[in-house]
Amino acid sequence: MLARQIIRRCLSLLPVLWMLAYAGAAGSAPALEQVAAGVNIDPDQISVSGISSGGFMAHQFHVAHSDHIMGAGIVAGGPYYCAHGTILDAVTRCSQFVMLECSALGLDARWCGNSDLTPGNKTEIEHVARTSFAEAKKQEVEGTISKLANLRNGKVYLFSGAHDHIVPLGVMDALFHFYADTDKGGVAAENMAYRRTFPARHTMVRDSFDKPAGDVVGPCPLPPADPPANDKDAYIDDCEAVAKASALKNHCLCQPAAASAAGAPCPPRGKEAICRDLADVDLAGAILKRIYGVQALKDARVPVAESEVLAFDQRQVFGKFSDTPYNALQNASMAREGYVFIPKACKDGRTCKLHVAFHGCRQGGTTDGRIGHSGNLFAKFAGYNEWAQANQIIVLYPQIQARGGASPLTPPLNPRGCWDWWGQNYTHTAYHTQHGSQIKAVAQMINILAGGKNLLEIPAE
Amino acid sequence: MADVSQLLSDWGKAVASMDVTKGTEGLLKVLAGLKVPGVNMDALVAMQRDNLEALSASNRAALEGMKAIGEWQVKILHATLQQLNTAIEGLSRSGSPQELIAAETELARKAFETAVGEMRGLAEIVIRANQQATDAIVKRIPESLEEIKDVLKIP
Repeated sequence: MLARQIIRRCLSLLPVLWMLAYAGAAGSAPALEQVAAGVNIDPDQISVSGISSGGFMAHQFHVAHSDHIMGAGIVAGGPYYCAHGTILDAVTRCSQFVMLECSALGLDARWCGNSDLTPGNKTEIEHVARTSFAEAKKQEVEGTISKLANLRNGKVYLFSGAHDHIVPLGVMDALFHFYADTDKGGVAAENMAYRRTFPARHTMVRDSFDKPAGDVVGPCPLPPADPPANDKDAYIDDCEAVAKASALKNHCLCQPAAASAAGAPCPPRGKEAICRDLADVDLAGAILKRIYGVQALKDARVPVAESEVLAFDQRQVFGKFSDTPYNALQNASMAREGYVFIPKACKDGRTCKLHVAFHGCRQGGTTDGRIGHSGNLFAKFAGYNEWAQANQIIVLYPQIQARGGASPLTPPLNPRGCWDWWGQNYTHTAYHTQHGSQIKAVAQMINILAGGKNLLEIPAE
Repeated sequence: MADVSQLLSDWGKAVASMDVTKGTEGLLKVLAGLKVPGVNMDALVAMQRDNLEALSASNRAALEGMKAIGEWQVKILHATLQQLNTAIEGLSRSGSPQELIAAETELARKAFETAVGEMRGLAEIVIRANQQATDAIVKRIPESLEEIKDVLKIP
């Protein structure tokens, strides 16, 4: 066409610019369909997990799509609609994020130092769980989430670090009640695990297996040691040494009672929980085993090269349900590229499981590009891929990109790159339902991996 | 903490009803969804938004603070709107197929000039900010150039 010829002529006048363009940008990542060509997932074996804002997202995604999500692992997250659609509740009642931002927000340091509005006692915790489930009920009636009865058959793993002051224990306790109480989620005790004594801060706990060189994975510092500075912290920590020391201190490394001469119980009385929780230092493995069963994870993990985690274009995912996918992606504060790990065995058509892992704030998009480790650290080093490679699990890592929110002219306001679990000035009121833009995008990714089937419900725009 | 708690709750409910970004998002969606021959408006609007993001992430002092950014945003939105007007006028004027092709060509040329012009502006700001510019803004230059291909629907 004539128009194209003219454009080409214009472009030919700017060879330097074009050289820059080709030298500086590698071009867009391929579509997920391309990256995952030939994969075959088992529609009954799709699960989710996540940490922090990704933990909140994993849980709300589970609730929104419980007809297709058979299990959820939540690390340092909280109950459904905890934030009641407001950023203020999100950072004060459901987390202590406000403490991290105290000076940035210009708040009185005395107030910040002394205020804890998160649920602390039994009554408050039960109240939070009750109002949370009531909202889920309301959404169920409106038909914007799956039937809550599905949750009863779910497999659930919850983890709260004993030194986590960002999402305090009370918030996770409320989430436990959401799932466990018979008048709420009603998940059977044998299908649930709740680890709340492991000595860790607000971080993705892992062990030393296949740990990358350098300091990308932290050494699991505990109080009174200072936490690393925010911009230096990948929120992924090797806690193996910490767990070993704690196991020694708590006499967890004992002989079973029958074999011990004195017949002392092992673990010692009162130490059952801490000794059990310390065994979950390989947290990603513990999550996958709780969800899929130990038998499904019977093959020992194997090292995985960073290059085996593949990028795909998240904009094209939005293109499946939006006429303006570039802007829809920005409105959802999602990054151009998401990541997926596809085990070798899953590329030849074998039926594989699918696990979706949601990163936390400050862990997604291009926010963690560091020398020697370009791209996403959570997708590479959180500890899932090593198990996935050995046991035929595809791991999807959808990605958020921080958006500065310089003014209301550049929505959304998501300066820390969190998954949306409050809605306000972000992806708005439907954020916790099947209509939420992030939930839609991830559901679409799952459908693509399911070979283009309309497995998960994706409401029209 | 009951009193503070209640206070926060009430205030929270009041501010919850205010979702100040929603209106802008709607406007951007309209802009992005406009049909302009030869131009992918979705990609163009998205590119400008990313430029603004990069600017706001860069050293604000070098841009004389938020004011400069705000002015830039208004300028870009204004330019985009103007381009839009031209586009709509151009389309309604064109009668014959030949005229339509001519109009399309003109629109594509103008869109290209706008895109390059924006980048020139961006480059000037980078030069001004010099060493103070953060990685975010430096990274945008090659990205922006790559994006022209999307904006102008070049195969």
